[in-house]
Amino acid sequence: MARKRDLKEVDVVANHFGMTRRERLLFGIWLEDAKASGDRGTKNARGDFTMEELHVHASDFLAVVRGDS
Amino acid sequence: MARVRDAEELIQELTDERFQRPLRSYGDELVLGIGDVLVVPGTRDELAEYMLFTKETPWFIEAREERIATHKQRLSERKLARLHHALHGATVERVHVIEEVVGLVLDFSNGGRFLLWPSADTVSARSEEVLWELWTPFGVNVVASGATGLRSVQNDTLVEASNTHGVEKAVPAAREGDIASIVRQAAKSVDFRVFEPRTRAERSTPDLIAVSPTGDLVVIEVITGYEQTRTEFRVPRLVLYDPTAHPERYGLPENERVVRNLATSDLTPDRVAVALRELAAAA
Repeated sequence: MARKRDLKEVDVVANHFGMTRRERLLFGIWLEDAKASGDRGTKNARGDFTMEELHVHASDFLAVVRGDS
Repeated sequence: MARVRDAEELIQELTDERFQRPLRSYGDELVLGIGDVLVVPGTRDELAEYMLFTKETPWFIEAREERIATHKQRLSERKLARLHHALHGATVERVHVIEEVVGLVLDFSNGGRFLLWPSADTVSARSEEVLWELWTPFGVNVVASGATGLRSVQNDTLVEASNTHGVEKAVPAAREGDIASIVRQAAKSVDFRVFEPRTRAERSTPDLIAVSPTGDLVVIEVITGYEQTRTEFRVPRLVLYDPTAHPERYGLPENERVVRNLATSDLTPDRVAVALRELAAAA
């Protein structure tokens, strides 16, 4: 159940970073955008992200949506 | 201040709204965009006022009584295009909530039908796991779960820890015994021997030591919280860290080819074996 695990991993990261529900949903789309634009993860051939990569993306994502520096 | 509307009422707001586009969210998750275009900073895609996130729940799209797409295959670009074509320009005519399985059926004006149908087993488990979620333009999401059915939740509330339980159990970070077992399995596959130091005088004392068939040494340190000290080992070092502990400060700098960091959440015997071999070669 790769889909299930992927979603849960994103939930773990969202929970860790204190994302709101709105941010969590947008974060999923952000990650898919990243893959589509060539910023693929190294977890597998599909370009999914490792936990480490998800953390980096979460940090970048929140900087944009919250306007953090 | 606007009152928080109940879930059923919010779902019915979909009626007469126009299908906009399907989107893919991470994890091969289908998202249906319905209503006017919504532009959100930080996303390349144009979003929609209403977005139905299907999570892991089975879904089907029927057009002219033919099932044209389901959750079963990967959500390829082709499949998204087919889905877009099937519902393009249509408006939501009727919304049905299937209470028994916390499901949802949307009937579209062109005869198309979208069914979101959680399995009876999932629902009967009465888990708090989110089965699907509807983003609305009212600052409130509709959240479906087996435990509570449908409920409306302000979308600025934090993601609940309950959504993460499954992974927390699966991540070996909290169980050093599991990590040691993976390391031992990996070491055996590449003919390394693994030792556990009998004494741990300091926090930085290695958790395990691996020795290659040619006698090269690799220190293995397991970090499940941010407690590492930056002692200067001159021998190769494999750091197994918990990325959920302090993500911004995990691991050690991978300098001079003698340090490798591996997240405990991504730990497999194969990855450990490769790291051991590389580190021993760098010794």
